[in-house]
Amino acid sequence: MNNPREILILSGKGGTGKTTVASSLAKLINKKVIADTDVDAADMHIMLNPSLIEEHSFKGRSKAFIEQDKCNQCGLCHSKCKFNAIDKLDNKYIVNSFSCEGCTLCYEVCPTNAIVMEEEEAGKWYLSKTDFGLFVHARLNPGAENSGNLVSMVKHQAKQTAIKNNIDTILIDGPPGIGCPVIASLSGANTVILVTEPTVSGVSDLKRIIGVAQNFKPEIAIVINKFDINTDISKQIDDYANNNKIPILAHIPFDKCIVELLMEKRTPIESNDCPEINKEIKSILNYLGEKHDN
Amino acid sequence: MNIAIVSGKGGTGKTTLATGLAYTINANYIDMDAGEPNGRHFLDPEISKSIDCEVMIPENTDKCTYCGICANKCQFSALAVIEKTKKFMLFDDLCHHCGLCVEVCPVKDAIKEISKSIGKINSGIFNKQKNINFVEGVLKIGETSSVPLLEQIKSNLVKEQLNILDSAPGSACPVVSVIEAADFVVLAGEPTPFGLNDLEIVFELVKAMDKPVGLIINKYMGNDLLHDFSKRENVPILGTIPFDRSIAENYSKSINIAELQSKELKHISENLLKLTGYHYE
Repeated sequence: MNNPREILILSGKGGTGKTTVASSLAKLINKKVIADTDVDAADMHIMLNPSLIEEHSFKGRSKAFIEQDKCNQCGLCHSKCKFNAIDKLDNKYIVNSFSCEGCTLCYEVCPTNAIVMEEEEAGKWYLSKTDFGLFVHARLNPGAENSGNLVSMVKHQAKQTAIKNNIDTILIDGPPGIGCPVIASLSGANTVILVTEPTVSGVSDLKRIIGVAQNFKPEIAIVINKFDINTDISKQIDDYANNNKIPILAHIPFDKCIVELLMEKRTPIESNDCPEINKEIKSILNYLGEKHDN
Repeated sequence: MNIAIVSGKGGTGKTTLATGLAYTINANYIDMDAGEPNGRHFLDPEISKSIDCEVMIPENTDKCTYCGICANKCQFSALAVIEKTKKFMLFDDLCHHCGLCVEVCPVKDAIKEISKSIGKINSGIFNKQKNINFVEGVLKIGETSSVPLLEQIKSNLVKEQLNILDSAPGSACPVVSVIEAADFVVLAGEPTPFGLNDLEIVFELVKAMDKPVGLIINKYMGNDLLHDFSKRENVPILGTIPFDRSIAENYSKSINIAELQSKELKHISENLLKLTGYHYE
């Protein structure tokens, strides 16, 4: 079969409503594999109540470790390390594992072979079952390197799961920012939905994330969340999108009901309390559905 | 003294609180969310200096024998060398600028390091009467890692002054870099299941790095999620900001929270200074 279509939810700025939109779509789209690539602050599992099928260890790069009995305190590793990851404490050289990037330079230059590289677990990835479909998610150990690699692993596993089960759509809740986990999420994405908000910060971040996303040439669309907290800036986003030929799929109003439902771990579409919001979220679905038929 | 503001989840109020605190106590504001720097919108700084942050990337010279040792030893798969066709290829977005390739190359001067800009560090002042410093890192679009930028900002911080470090969301390398520099960490918490989940992850990191910590509860709606967290983990609450549509509206216009909630910001500042033991004029 063909590669499944990857629909990725991104935002640039954090807290604009990626996971709310993604979990709502997860509950509305018929047949899909769901993935969460916000691996260092994953939240989608909270809304999907997954039951675990598989758990896998994710190994990071090996990190340096100094065997003190072999070390002659020459300090070469300390002076050559570009990451300032080797501290001198009480006449001993010690690797700060938070700063070590595992480049092996110290291992290569040590004249007494006192440095060993040790493999470390950087996180875990999971395959779970939910009421809404199979779900691939992960947890990066706090402070661990390799968030981009773990993202690629989650995406790879989601794709394998989709192919194996003959499912042609993967819905992905992405990370904030523009750095390595975002770039790893974008690789191979077919449709990118950017959830933004009409704030000065939101617009600034929206333009930056569009710049990053365009390098990967996906189909891009925008959702404006909390659109009515500043209708002037909302209008600016509408105009900006128009000028750049980016469709705007929904204008979601600011409403306490989203937060109140979130407290009960429910999405707006599972309630009749916010009809306005439901209508807007369903128009995102229509857009995705239309494209499906093509 | 460096006070870092972190949250795990995005959009919980890091920049709102960091700029509000800097404004209230005349502290230097340092924007270390280089992917999405937004502090400038709330402090209206006058930028007087903008420098490139440069990293070193390898390039081969005519002395290169295409033996491929550099590519074999690179831990980041950033190099490919093909002996047959005499090709030396660098995938520069994978390069971590560690210098290993230069070190392990068996031929003298076959690889040289050239500089490449990954973004800018802008600095200036935001309070004209008092000359309070404003610094921000801005990562270039398409670059993957802001850490070298953050390290360069850190190396220029004046320890004797009070610096508020505004962090990126999450709990990965850029956040580690910020917490490392901190003498005290403020958690900007949002009392929702998402906010709590991500706060617990970043709190685990703060604990592992052995930093003193306090909590500000933002967008408070009357539930106990974060109060319970504070009791459970023994993290003092510095203050509380209510969930309020007008705060969101004012945020959208980049109005500094210290102008709207001056009493609460003063209260938080006093608690913070008491806990950190820092004295300011």
